[in-house]
Amino acid sequence: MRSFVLEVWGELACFTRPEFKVERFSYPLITPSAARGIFDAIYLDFDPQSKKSLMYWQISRIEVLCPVRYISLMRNEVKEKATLRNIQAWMRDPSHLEPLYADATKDDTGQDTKGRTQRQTMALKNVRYRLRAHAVLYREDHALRQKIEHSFERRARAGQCLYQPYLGCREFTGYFRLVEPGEEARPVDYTEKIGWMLYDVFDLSRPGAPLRTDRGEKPRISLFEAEVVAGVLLVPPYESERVQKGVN
Amino acid sequence: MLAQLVDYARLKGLGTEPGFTSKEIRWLVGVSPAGQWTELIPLDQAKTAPDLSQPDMMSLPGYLRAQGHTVEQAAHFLADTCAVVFGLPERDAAGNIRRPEEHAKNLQKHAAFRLLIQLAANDVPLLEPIAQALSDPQQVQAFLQKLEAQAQKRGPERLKSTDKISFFVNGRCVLDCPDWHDWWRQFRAHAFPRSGAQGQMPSFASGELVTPASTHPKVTRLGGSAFGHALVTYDKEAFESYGLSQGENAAVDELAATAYRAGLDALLEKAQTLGEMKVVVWYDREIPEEDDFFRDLFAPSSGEAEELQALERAHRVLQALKTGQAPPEIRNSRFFAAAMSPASGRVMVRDWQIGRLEDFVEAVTTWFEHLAIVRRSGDQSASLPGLNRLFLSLQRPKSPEQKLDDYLKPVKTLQVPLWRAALNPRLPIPYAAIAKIMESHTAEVMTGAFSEALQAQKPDAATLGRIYARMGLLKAYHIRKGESMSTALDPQHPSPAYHCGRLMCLLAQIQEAASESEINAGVVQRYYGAASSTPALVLGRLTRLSQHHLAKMAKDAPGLAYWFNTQLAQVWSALGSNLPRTLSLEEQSLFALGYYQQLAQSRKKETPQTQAPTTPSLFQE
Repeated sequence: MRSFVLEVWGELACFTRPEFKVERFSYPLITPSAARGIFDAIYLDFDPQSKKSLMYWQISRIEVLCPVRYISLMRNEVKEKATLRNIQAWMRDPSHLEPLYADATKDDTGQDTKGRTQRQTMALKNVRYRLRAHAVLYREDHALRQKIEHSFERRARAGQCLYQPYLGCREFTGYFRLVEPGEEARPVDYTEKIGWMLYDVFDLSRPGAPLRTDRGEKPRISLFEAEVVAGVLLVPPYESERVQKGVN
Repeated sequence: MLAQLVDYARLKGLGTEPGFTSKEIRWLVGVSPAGQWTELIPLDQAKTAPDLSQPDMMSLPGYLRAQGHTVEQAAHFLADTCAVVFGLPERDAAGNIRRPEEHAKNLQKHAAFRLLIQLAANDVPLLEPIAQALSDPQQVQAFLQKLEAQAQKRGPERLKSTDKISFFVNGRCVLDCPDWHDWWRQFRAHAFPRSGAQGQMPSFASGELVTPASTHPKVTRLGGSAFGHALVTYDKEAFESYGLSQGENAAVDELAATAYRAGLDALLEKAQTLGEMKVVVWYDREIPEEDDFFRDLFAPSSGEAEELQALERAHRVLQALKTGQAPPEIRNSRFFAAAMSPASGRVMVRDWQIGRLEDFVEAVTTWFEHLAIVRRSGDQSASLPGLNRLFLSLQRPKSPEQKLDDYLKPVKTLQVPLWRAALNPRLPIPYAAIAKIMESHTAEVMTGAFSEALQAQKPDAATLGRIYARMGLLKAYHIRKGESMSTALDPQHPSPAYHCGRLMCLLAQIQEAASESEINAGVVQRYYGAASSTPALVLGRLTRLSQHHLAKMAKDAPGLAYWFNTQLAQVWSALGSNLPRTLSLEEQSLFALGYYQQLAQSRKKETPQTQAPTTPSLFQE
């Protein structure tokens, strides 16, 4: 089993604390789920029949390479979401379209629950991390592992990705490069007990499929007690008892 | 933050049971055992009272109607406003009822309030006299007149319809008696059954599997709105994730939600203000009051019976922490710092920092060291500015007619960076703060207000404090950029800009000392702005002019002329042969510091050992 190290960086990042989401406030460093998302963006293998993933990326180590710096932004956000039901109705009958006015004010919509709202974001500025991860296969298979590891290495080295990685929010673009063996990291002198941090939103213990929230499916939130020591956050494996998982 | 607030509430033994809160009760109404109103007692005290959250309030009329009662509006239990408990209307100067629709609604709430008391009185004998008195319209009307009379009074005795009122029975306030607690718990459990994923989600406050509270109680001490503000809220669909509803998005059980609210309210009660933010600092264990530097950060020399200066005190505590003299539990303690402000019924968290107590004390020490600046008499350091005063010093003083919001608008974005810089010695002072200071400082110097404040026999403390704060912050800015800056004059300073400022100060003093009559507009008023941005263009010319002043001075006061010449020679020697053609804003701030520190040095009273026979002290304080 091989581990891969990615160096990721970006001008802005916001790894939103779920408890302070309405006026966004970021964790001081990337969460394991956001880090997993960056690996997923480069390569993730799926079963062609069931369309379910055959693996997940287990983040094992996060190194903070730039000092933690916050920046306060005010952004326009929307209050409502495009629902699956509305979109299906529109597909059936395009003449009955109820659009989502992203830039509407209360004067336009006549109500408080629609349109746009201005909210604060406490984002991070100039972030740079080294993320170490390895592939966990739901059914161990030597050939598949070889394929996954080889494909990931090739794609990451060439800077290829399925979609542009992002740093917490889609609008905060993340850049990456594969760290070759022997390259040294210099984490910043940052030690902190962060406390309960989001580990992941989805159940990593079984092959994932898109969540059907319209059928009442709920995510499985997991948390862990994060402690950064000398710029390094060691992430326990998902199966670990140190990761508190919700009940499905 | 939630976990730390819950721990704080438990450490302080704050009321953390759901359905209970602390309310400011302004009045008590006495009730005799026979159910008669007796007297009106002023109170003004926070008491433990029944609590209804916003969703509870919304569902209360529906529940009561389902029980067969006629209810239009919801009301609180045992303690509510005078407008609700007695139907006291708010009146204008002419005695007419203000907002009649509001009054009509309050009368409906009065009916709900009476009903709740009546229901409770069936099980709680203590409340029977109250229910009896409330059910007698004549009695209520008679007492209402008493309240109306009290509302006509002026000053602190005046009763407002929004004042909260409760009852005084058997020689005690009913809120102090636990008799009603069980009834209230049962009533809440029936009226507001909790729903949600039962014990299925890990709590963000404790990590344990809990049933998430769908909505959380509001923080009431943040100011801005009497209805309070929610810290954890998902008020719009777009802020919910993956089909999770309301509080499920960040699971916290009801007990922990009540606890964090109690903790935060207690902290906000003694919060400090920075611009429009409230900031709080707390610890994970009890810290002796003398080791808590949070208040010092905002008012460094206003400690109660404080003999030591804040900086000395911080040094002493830091030493004790580093050498192990402080008790082990203090050495290992951690601090938590939060800055927040209200935003449309929500708490907007502006900053959240955690760390070791030692780091906090070290940050405070370094902050004060960086801000320390020589006072105008040049002999010792000026008193240190509190953080809010420092923030307000960035710009010109607020005019009385200006609204605080409008006044703070240009510097609002600097609140958090300054707060962070105070708590972390490695962070820079924001450049924008320096730009703001330079703008107001240059204007003040050129109008003469700066010199006037420094030379006045009885200076205005606020003006002087503002000058010290600004100079201190300029100094801190350069220190944090890695430059060397001393509290008082530094003849060896490497920057020519600094020495240009010194030169400007000397030239102004020469002009002043040589002139027999008062000068209308001296070189400072005329040339400070130009000299601080284009020194080569201005200072060379002014130096040439100063030779005439010195020549004149040499006839009447040769010693003084000699001393000035020596000083000029020192500055020119530090400057070298070339005057800078232009100065950037940062260099202009060094110019300002050089100017100020030279001025303070000139006013310094020399000690007998160091006093040269020909050295005058130009201005005596």
